[in-house]
Amino acid sequence: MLAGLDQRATVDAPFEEHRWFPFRKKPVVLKGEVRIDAAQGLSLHYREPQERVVIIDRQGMLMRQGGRETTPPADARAGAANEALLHILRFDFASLAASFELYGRRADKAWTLALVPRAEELRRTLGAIIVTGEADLVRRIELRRSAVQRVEIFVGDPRPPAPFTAEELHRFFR
Amino acid sequence: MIATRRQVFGWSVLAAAALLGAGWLARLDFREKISTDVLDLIPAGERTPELVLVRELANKAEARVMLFALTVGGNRSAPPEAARRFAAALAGDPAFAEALAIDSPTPREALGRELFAQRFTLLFPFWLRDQEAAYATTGGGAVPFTDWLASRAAAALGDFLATPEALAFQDIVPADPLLLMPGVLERLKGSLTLVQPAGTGAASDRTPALVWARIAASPLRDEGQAPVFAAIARATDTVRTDFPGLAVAYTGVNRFAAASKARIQSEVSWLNTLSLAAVFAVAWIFLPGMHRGLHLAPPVLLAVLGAWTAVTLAFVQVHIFVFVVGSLLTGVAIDYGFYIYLQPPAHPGEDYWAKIRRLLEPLLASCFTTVAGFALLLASDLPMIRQLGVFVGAGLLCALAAAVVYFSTLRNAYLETRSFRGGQALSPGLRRGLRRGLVVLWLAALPGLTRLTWKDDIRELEISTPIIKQEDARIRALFGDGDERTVWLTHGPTLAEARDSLEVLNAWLYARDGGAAEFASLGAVVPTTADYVLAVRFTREHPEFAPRLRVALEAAGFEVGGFAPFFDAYAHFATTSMADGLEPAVEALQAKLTGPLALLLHRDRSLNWFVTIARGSAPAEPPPVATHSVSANQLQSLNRVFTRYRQSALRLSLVGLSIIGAGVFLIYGWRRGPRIFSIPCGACLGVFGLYGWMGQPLNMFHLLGAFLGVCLTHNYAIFSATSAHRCEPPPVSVRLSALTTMASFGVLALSGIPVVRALGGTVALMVLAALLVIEFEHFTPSAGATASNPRLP
Repeated sequence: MLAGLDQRATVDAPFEEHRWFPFRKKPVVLKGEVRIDAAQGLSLHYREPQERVVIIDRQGMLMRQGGRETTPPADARAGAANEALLHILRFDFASLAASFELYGRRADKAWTLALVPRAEELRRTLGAIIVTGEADLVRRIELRRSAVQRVEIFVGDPRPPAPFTAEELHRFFR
Repeated sequence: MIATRRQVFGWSVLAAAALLGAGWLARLDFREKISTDVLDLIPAGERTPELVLVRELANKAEARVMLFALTVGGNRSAPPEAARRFAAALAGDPAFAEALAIDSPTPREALGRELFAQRFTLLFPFWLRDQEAAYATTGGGAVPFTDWLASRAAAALGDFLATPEALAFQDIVPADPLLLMPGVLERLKGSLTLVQPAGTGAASDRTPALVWARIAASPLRDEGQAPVFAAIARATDTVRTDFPGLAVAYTGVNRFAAASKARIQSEVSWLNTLSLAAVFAVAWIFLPGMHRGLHLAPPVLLAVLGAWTAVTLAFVQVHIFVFVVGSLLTGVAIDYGFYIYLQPPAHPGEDYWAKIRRLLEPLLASCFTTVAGFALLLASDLPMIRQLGVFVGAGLLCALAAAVVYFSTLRNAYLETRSFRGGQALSPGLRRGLRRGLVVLWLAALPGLTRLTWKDDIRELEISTPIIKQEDARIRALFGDGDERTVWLTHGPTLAEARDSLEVLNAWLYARDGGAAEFASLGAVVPTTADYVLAVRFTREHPEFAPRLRVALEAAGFEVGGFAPFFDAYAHFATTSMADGLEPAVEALQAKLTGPLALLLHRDRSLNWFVTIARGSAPAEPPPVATHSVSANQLQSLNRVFTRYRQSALRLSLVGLSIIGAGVFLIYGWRRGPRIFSIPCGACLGVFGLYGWMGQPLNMFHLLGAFLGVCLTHNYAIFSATSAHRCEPPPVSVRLSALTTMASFGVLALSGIPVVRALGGTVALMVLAALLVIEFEHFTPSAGATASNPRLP
């Protein structure tokens, strides 16, 4: 199954993120675009409910909002989730396998991949990551700690693979 | 027979004195008796805030910090595991109190846990203050404060859940819907990295892995030096077995202290040796026989012994600096030997004691004038200066007594000098030209007085260690401690007062740059007492807040039942919190702080301080007095303290000069007095003018040197007065005395310690100037006068 998914240099797709919290009746919904560049890392451009860009690269996490850049303190759980997101969207399963045990299931073109952190601490705090897709498209990523505490990311159809422009690199990456 | 009895008596007296002195010194514990701590140069009773802070800092955790940079195979970063293993090895050694790899999350996690546990005591007051300020901007009145507050809190929580940080905080939100913890993170922003930088090992292969450690003993004591260095070597060897090629560079106060101690001990040794050698070299130039010249040595050695004995008897602890500067003693102490030994008998067969009686007046005048000058140092504020006064004063008295007794034991207490024509070898025209040239030089030097600047810095008292300093700067830069970083200490007798002052400092800093610079301090997590009391009062006076918050949360789409941990904790705080509950909470917080974060707060019965670290465009000028804050730079230089001591030294010097001047005019009258007084004063002004032109900043020790120079040159002016009156060249004893003094002080000018150089150079130059004046003056005898054989005073 994995052999059929080619590793990608760039990804550019819309997404919708649903955050479920045990203390909230409905999920918090965020919308935006995800961009991945093999060299520059992962960029999440949130458009709703607030305009914000989150960049995850080798230097860590950087947030841009209202013309200001901030660096949140290192958080192992967030770092692992973001790194996993980057590798999942690039179909870089070799990198994923270093930190996660991978389980897969396939039915025709549809497929499901479950990632379980190898580290006990991360397994406890992050839970499992479940990725579902169709052919060579990732459709849904779920970071699941429990039924009432999870994050679902619905990925839309990606734009045809193409290198990012200089303006895009400047705006969405470090 | 009489001579033999005199010899026996003389030797007995000298031997008894030497034995007593040596016996006293032999029973001393020099490690305890002699201090190498630069802070011991300052009075124990000094209460200047920055000095009290420095003393505390020197004795507390701050001075015990050591920083390590680990590399492998030359300049490649050591693996993080190597740093962790090295830190663990240090932490397991009794020489170290704690050690951690800089990327260790332990200190931040400990801070976070404690802040969460005490969020209502420490963080709720900040939150409430900000909300009240925001409510005030709405004009208030339309909606009751608690209703407004509950709605706003619920809305803020809704907004927060859409931020990237929300996922990291989701587990604690049920206990913290007011977002006190995310709020404190916002206040601290990235400033925690100012205190404990993030690990850089992964960022660059060439950036060393970093380890922070705190040693168990004071870095200024032996226990904080050699055993610590040995522990570092052991830890390095241990880790190197698994990480071959591991290299450890480190810095800490103990490295400076150990290097400084070693170099000062070396300075004492070589300065004294060189000074003695220079003095005897000068003596042997003037003396015909080397072996007979050795008779000048015993009085000098006994003077040094007497000086050591007196100063160690008079003071519980003596600074090693006294012995460095005290090496000048040899140059002055040898003068009495010259005066006695080079004086020819008044007639063949003159009895030794008759000769002494004849010389007693100028001998005593010379000795007591100089001793009086040094005795004046006893009025100084600085213990080291007082110790120097006793050391040199007692040494000179011993030198005179030893010289008088020692030469009584010689069968022939007269040594004829070599014949020197000196200035007389020059033609009258050339001498006149030289004299005029000297006057022109002096006049040209005077405007330099207007260019004089002062540099008051305690670091001038220490030996410069450029290699260690360079290494220190390099390693500190790796830890984020660069030029762009400023550190302030905000102090107060109580924690509450220190915190209030910190509020004033924060306001001042914000007013200066509008918040452009980045600051880190525990002021972000420790509220003022006033804010804390307001928060406690709010929970008591507004019991309706909790139910209204429930309603607001429900209305905003939250499951209120999920926030039970918060409502339980809030109710507990509202019913149990006390008005004086802040101090214990801060105490508990401090107990949990580890690593670099622990240095941000100091609590004591008499002194408390907060540390503020700034990165960016911090103000260059010192904070206002009302902030009760001093910058670390001020603490390193103690410039304000030393400016005060320098002004005190100036007053002391001027008083001494006035006394000397009054004495001169009283004894020598208005005809000869101006000549005598103008020589030391002119030399002093000329040398300071020269310093002004050279752009040499002056310190207190230039003043001290000038004062000693005035005492010494004043002697030469007096001793040459009689010759001048007779139009004779200066006596050979004046030349010898001046040259040996120049030699001994000139040696001090080679010292590695800036202030010792200042003192030595100033005195040597003043003596040179005075000697030239005296020589040139005597080259122009008035009509009818003839130069006779030089006479000793």
